[in-house]
Amino acid sequence: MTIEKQLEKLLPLVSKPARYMGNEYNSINKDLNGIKVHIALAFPDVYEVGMSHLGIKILYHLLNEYPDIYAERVYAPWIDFEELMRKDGLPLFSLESKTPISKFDMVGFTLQYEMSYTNIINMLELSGIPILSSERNESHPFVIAGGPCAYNPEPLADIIDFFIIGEAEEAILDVIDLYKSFKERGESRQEFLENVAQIPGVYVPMLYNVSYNNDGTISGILPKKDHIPSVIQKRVIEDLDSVYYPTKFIVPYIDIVHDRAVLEIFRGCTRGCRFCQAGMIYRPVREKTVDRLEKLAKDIISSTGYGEISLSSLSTSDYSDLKRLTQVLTEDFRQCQVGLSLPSLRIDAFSLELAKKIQEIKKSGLTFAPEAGTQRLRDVINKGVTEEDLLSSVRDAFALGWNRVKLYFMIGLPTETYEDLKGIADLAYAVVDVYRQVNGHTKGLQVHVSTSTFVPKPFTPFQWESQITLAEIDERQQHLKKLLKKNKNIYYSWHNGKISFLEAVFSRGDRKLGRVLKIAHEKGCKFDGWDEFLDFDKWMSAFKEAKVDPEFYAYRKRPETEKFPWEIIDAGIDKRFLLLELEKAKKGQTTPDCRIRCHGCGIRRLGDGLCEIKNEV
Amino acid sequence: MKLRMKFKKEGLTRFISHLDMMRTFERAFRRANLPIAFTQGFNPRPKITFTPALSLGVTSSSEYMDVEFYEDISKQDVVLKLNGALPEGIQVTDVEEADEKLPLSMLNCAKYVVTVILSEVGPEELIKSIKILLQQKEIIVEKNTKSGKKLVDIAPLIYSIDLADHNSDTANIVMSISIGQQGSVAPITVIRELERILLKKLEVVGIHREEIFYISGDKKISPFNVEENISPKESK
Ligand code: SF4
Repeated sequence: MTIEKQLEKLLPLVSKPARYMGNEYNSINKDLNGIKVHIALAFPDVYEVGMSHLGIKILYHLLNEYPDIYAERVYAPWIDFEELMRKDGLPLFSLESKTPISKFDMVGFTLQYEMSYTNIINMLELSGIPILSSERNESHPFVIAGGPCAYNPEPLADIIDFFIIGEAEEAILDVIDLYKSFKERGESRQEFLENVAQIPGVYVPMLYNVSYNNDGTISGILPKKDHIPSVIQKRVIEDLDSVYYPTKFIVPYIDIVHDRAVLEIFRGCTRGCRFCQAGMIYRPVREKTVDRLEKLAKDIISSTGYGEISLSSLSTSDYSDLKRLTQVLTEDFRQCQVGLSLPSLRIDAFSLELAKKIQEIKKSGLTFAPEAGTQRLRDVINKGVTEEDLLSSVRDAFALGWNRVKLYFMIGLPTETYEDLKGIADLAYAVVDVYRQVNGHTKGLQVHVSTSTFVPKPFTPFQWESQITLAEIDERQQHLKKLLKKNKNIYYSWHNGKISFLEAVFSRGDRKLGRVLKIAHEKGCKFDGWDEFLDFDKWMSAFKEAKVDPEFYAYRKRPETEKFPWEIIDAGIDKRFLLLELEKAKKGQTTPDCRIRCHGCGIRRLGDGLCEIKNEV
Repeated sequence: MKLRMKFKKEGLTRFISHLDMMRTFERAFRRANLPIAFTQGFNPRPKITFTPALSLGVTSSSEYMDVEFYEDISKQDVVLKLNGALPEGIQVTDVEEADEKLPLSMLNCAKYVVTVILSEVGPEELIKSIKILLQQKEIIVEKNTKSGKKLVDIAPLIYSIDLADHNSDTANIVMSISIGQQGSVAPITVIRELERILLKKLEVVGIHREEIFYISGDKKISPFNVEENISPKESK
């Protein structure tokens, strides 16, 4: 039976069959006969999540511009469909041509969050591809990975054949070019891996030996051969304005997480929050021009028909010409009822003015992310928001008719005390007071306080820091709950601490964790980022069986001299800069925005004129 | 200006839910750059109404929608442009002005073709079971509703069932059954009842909605206001 026939039989039996059928508007069909390189772009989560991810969309359309390359999509099947697939012997297949994944030349996974790692293993297993890189041979596809989590590739070193570090638009084409000549010459898998390792930004873990100290820390990650690079520098697109950007986005049938057109306005961030990995690894800031964005936006709307376009970046308010951009776009789209949405917008007078015109913000309520409850702690993490800023924006918003506010905080930040937790509660109560001052009552007001637990991340000033223990997470959440429950306008929710703990283990983990992942998978762990599926006991027994202590990774404060697993990667940020930032954090000293002063983070090393920020001094 | 369009939903698009179809059309209209009217207010929606929902997995050559435009446009233009912007499998086949036609909400009957595999059951057996089913005064089935399971009598909801044609492998069962607000029954429910009589499983390989209309007395009226007298067999 062909996959299509099997699928027709199974689709009526699953929830949301559209997840597996492909055929969406703008999805790309090609004749397989003319294809030299067939690549499956895999996202290790369910369709609705994977389809919302911008990076994979860019690569999909970019690669399909080339007539002899065919890029197709594949997502993690939901539990119900996986069960049927296994029962029916249906292998994992691509959405477009329904080709078994094992028949592709390459399978490229996007690593967006650590908790998707077991899904990668599961998808390989469902494809019939050996889970370990060392067990694959000439008949198997190359298994590649990229994305933010690839900045510490080591936990997946046994599983992934090679990683692409940094922005992949150019690197992937280099890899494919090499692959074509490799195929023509009929070279061995090993030969290809040794060659691909020489492309800038490519890391082939099996070509490196890792040695350890007696205490379990790393003493070195060294290439096995002379011509293999000893450190892999991330790839960066120099000119973001002219780099390829798709306009014929696939339009899904079912509601996905971000069901709208996405316009990337810039990459990078100048604010330098010390806990934020994205703010460090995506440096430097590079913008697209208003003219280019306007043209892209029009093309995207006319080729997708979306009723909403979202401006995407790490911090939308920082786009240098936001006022003109939003004016131009609202003007262009007034007639055809296309709304504009601006996530990650800092709330200030300008954005409120804007929000009056933009319905999306009004619907969803206002979101503020002070991250910490006291000014002292906000200085430690370099989050440049003051209580006065927040309260005066809230006051303006209430005066304009808003009555729903979301406040995001982190608990367990370095140096946090119960005083800081009290600060979170005080801030929430202050918001309620402001509403009362404005409206004379608190009817209809909703203040949603949400906390997540701080996870120390590689390539941030806090990469040396420890995470608070699971017991402490629980205590602090309970404490906040007590502080916040006295007011019925305040709603408190928190992220699962166990997920944060596992994130902390894998984000700064090393190769030894590969075994844990494999055992966890065998025990049935999958969709671990989904609260309802996380089976923490299974994870703990997986650590035990693998003889790996998770607390070594999550709770241990690292000395400045320690060699980290991710130091095989050069993210462009100097260790010296990160250490300096850590010291300043401990003293409660802030570092101003890059636009005020350059702090010499190191990124300029990667290219002359790469950092286009014009400093005021 | 309001237009009534007839469209078909075939192939894989049969797995797209009713709700998702609305979104699909809204986007197709925007891609086609057609001047559809939107509701006023905070959350503007396009002014489109559809025929009663088709179950997931059912194909159709007889879906209708009424669409309002804020300026007059030619019917041919609409079909051409819209079809160029629709996903493969969904296609507009006919269009007329909607004014003075019966409201889509009045449609109360649909004709389905259900294709089953003839392996365990022969055509004669099938015909017999249909006859038995139609002779029953009451056909009580369990129905899942929002407030739990409920027993309903589907006998008054069945207008006709026939074995239309068959070959050595498959048979086409044609049934006219009630849809819409007055009460509705799914074709698969009728098949399950036939199985109960046959004491055998019927493997269904396709369900297709072929026609949809309004039945009153001995008249049936199509959404394009074509009137027909119906055969006594079909009348209730
Ligand atoms: S080089 Fe200077 S201005 Fe550019 S990102 Fe680094 S610190 Fe900021």
